[in-house]
Amino acid sequence: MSGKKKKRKNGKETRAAYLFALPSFIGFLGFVLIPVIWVLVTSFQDYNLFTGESTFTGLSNYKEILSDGRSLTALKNTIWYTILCSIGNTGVGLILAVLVDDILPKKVNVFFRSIYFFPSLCALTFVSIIWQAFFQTDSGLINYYLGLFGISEVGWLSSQSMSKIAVLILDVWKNAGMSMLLILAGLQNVDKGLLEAAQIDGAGPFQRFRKIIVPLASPQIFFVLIMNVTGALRIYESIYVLTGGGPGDSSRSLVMLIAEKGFTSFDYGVASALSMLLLVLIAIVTFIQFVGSRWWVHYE
Amino acid sequence: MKSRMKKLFALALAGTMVFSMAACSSGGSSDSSSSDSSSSSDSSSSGGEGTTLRVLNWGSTVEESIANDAIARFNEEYPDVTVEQTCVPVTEWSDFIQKWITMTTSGEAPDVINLGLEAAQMAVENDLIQPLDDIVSGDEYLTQLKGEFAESLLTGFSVDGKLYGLPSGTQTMVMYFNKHMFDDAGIAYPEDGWTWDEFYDIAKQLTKDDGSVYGYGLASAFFQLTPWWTSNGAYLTDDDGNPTVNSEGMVESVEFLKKLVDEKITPDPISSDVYTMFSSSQLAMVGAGRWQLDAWQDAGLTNDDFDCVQWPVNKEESSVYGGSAWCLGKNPTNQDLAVDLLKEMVSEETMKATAAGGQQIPPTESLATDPEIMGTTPDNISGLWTAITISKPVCAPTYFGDLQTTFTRAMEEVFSGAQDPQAALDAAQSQVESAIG
Repeated sequence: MSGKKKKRKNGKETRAAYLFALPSFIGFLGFVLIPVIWVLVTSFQDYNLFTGESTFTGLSNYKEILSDGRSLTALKNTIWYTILCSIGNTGVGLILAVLVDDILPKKVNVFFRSIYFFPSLCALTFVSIIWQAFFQTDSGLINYYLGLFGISEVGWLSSQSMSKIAVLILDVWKNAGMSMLLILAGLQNVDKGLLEAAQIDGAGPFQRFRKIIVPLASPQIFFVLIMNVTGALRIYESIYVLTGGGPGDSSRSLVMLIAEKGFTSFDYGVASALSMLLLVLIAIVTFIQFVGSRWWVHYE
Repeated sequence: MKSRMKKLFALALAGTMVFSMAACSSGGSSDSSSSDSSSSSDSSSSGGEGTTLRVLNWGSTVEESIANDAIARFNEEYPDVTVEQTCVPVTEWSDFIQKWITMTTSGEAPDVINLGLEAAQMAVENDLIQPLDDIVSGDEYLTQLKGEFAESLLTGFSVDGKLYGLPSGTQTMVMYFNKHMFDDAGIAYPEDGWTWDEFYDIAKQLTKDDGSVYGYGLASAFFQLTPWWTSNGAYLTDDDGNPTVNSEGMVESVEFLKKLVDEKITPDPISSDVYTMFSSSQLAMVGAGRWQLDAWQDAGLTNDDFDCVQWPVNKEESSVYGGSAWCLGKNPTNQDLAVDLLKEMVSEETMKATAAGGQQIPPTESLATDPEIMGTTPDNISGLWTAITISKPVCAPTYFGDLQTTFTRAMEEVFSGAQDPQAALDAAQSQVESAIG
């Protein structure tokens, strides 16, 4: 094969590669990039949904959200969810994954894996009715059992201090199974020889977990953490079906507030400005995670 | 070189991820509308010669099939016309308006619309529907029908003296009570015209200290709360449509409700499922309309177990009504055909089918007091119609979406004990004012 021919062939391959990438790029352009630019433009406008007219208003939408206590509450709640839901989902997922890895006989493992993964398969809207019944203050199941232990009634959905915790419980119940599955895939790749060697050298279960399992499975754990953090930043469904953001604004996330401004008040300008705020927040958090990952994620 | 490419690639990937997340966030509620169901009564969408009319309806599959039957009758007369029905489940009326606007902007504006009272002012204000006065006065059946509707219902669908909708069904609130609990406690059944004080005393007497029975079940929802201020002579707006969320009467009403919550006469209004609690004998009294009757009878309640009475009175005898009406889009594809389709939607047959659906109260006295349609449970079932004739419409100004969310939030603040009634309503008033600019 002469050098010229090779070059031409390479060009052909490159073209083919671009062609293969084209559909997803068009999708990205049409469904992500252009809408994001449109949201950015709308955030500087007063947009009338009914007439389709828009007038440029400069930074007034941003001023409005920054001076509105409700956006700040929603922002605080979102950060709360981001920290606790991602720790909860990743942590519980990791613990479950270790428990169903190879401690028990294989058939029992498969049984428990299915059980723990099951919530991820249920549509939240259906199970929310059951969870609401669990969380009822005066006739709920959870308060009934707490009562047997002498714990007085907890206003899971009706007290401002507990509503976020109720959402957290539902969210972890729903999503930890998926985290478990992904981390489990990482655990299955851990060399059993290493664990045995460590055991012979006198490492206890916790040491083996801390010094061998976590570092070796760290790429998977990192991936799951990123997924959970971005999921928690966009948390909507778990809140919508359980508390609707209430009582008051106590469990409302930024995305819920965006939906309310956009689709109930039809204030697209403010909703867009809030979306840009969330975009910046997501960008910052993702950047921190990537930078921070250098210290604890080990790629082989 | 290679590592630089890798870095660039990683950066691009990270960028893509961030953007995809942002895109998801701005479409956060899209999944709530994904359950829309569309159906076409005539799927063979013509050879291009027939006109296509679009119906925007709301409700469950029952309402959808009732409308499909009406469309079928319309098609007997006009076989060449294709009618497409879009039926959406409604939890919030602003979602319904959103759907409407989406249809309009994509060139598929609905011609005939079943509109909730909550969204009527919003639709008129934004020029989405047309007045029906000339159409009604020029048609014998419609003129006669208009005379049968409750006056209050027509008022609800009129703006500036012009009628915009022909009611298809309505809803109200009366007080249901558990007869056995009254008998056991030796308390006489309440009668129409009873007062808040009498209500309070009875509810307190019937509440058991161990928490097994509550005297009354309060549901913290916009419609369900409304009779508590209409019966106190208060309302969320004044006659000009300006918000009066923190008026004296409103504060008094909310303070009364807060007292019921604090004294544990009602279970927690935010999380409790009061209708199930009533049918399982955990509540002595609960407010509802017709929509609960089927479920309660399925749960085994009979005329011996419960009955209803008008809402207790503090200043005036009143309650709340809501409902929906068939309206005509501003610029229908074909005005004459759309009018005929509208007439089919309010024909006697369609109305009877809607009434037999069991959820709504029919909008005319003859149907609403007909035992064959309404059933005979409870004994005082005709009280539902009486309630409609004395009621005020659910407060639905052009800024209904903002009013509803802000006010509901304020009530949650009160019931969760975060704010006292005056402070919560003051805050709500100023939030609504700033939202409507």
